[in-house]
Amino acid sequence: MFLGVCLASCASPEQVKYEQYVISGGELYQTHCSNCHSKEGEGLRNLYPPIRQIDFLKNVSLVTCSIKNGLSGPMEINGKMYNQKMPANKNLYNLDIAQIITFMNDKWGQTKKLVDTEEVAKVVCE
Amino acid sequence: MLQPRSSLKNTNNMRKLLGFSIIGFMALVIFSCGDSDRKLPYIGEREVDAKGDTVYHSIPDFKFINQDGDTITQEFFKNKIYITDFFFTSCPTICPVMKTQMLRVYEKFKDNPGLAILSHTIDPRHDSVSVLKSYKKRLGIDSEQWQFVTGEQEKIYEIAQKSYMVSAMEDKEAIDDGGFVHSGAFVLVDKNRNIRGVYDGTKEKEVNKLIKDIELLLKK
Repeated sequence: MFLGVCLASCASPEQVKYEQYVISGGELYQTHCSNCHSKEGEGLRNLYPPIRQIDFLKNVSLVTCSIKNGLSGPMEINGKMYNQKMPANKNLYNLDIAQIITFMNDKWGQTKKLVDTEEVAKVVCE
Repeated sequence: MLQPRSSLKNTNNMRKLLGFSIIGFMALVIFSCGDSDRKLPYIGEREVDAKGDTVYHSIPDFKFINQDGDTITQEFFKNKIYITDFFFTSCPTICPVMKTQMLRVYEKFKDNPGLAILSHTIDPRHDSVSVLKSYKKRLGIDSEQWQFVTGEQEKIYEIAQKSYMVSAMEDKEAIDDGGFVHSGAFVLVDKNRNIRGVYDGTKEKEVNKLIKDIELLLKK
């Protein structure tokens, strides 16, 4: 709480928004993603792929469409083949997805940059 | 002056008595609940037979098909204790968590001939023999110890509900759960086919208890 007040009072509005996205995104990740991909993003053996440190995370359109519509068929991640259907998450709003992607990049990606709702909204999935 | 002194003495005695009782009680707790002497309960209804012996709820004969297309019956589990659960391979909710926890049990007792694991699919229409085989392989299970079985849906639901006493059913409205409703329970069955424990397979602490209970049951 004290830390929260500090952050809110000392940081720029952009920084505050980023922190908020990371926190909310983390909560959404726990609810919607962690069952399969695990809390620490390492996945489960050869069944569910890891989210940690993969090139996949850089591609906002691909991540957005995978979350929205799910995935199926074989796919290679970090040199390993996976083939487990990922369900579509039709109940998530663009804001939710933006927060989840921001969180995942903050925790496991190479760039700590906010992905906002508009960026997610303009993605056209096949 | 006499009055306060006497009451002081009484208080002291009371304290001593209380102290001794606490030590005594703790000793009793330690000796009676010592882990090696702990006994697991029998779960389910019990009856008394004609001879006056207690008959505990037990798992009837069953027959399912495993990931290799082989028939699996109660014979496979003869002289073994086993843990059983109900899942389906396309389950997006609790199954991955259950499998993560069951893997802990599997790794702990790997190659122990006294323990087996039996996972039933509750979606046999999708989870064919080949789907189960691929699932088992990708989970990294390469031993006979952990069996994945499929069979007639009715039979699977019946044994889940009536024998293992856990919920398992199809529910087309439970779209977010993949179209099925089922419990995340791990059921511990002893060599006499009696149920000795039911644990929430999605919770690490409960699975820690299951591991302790298995160790206890294996010693008997």
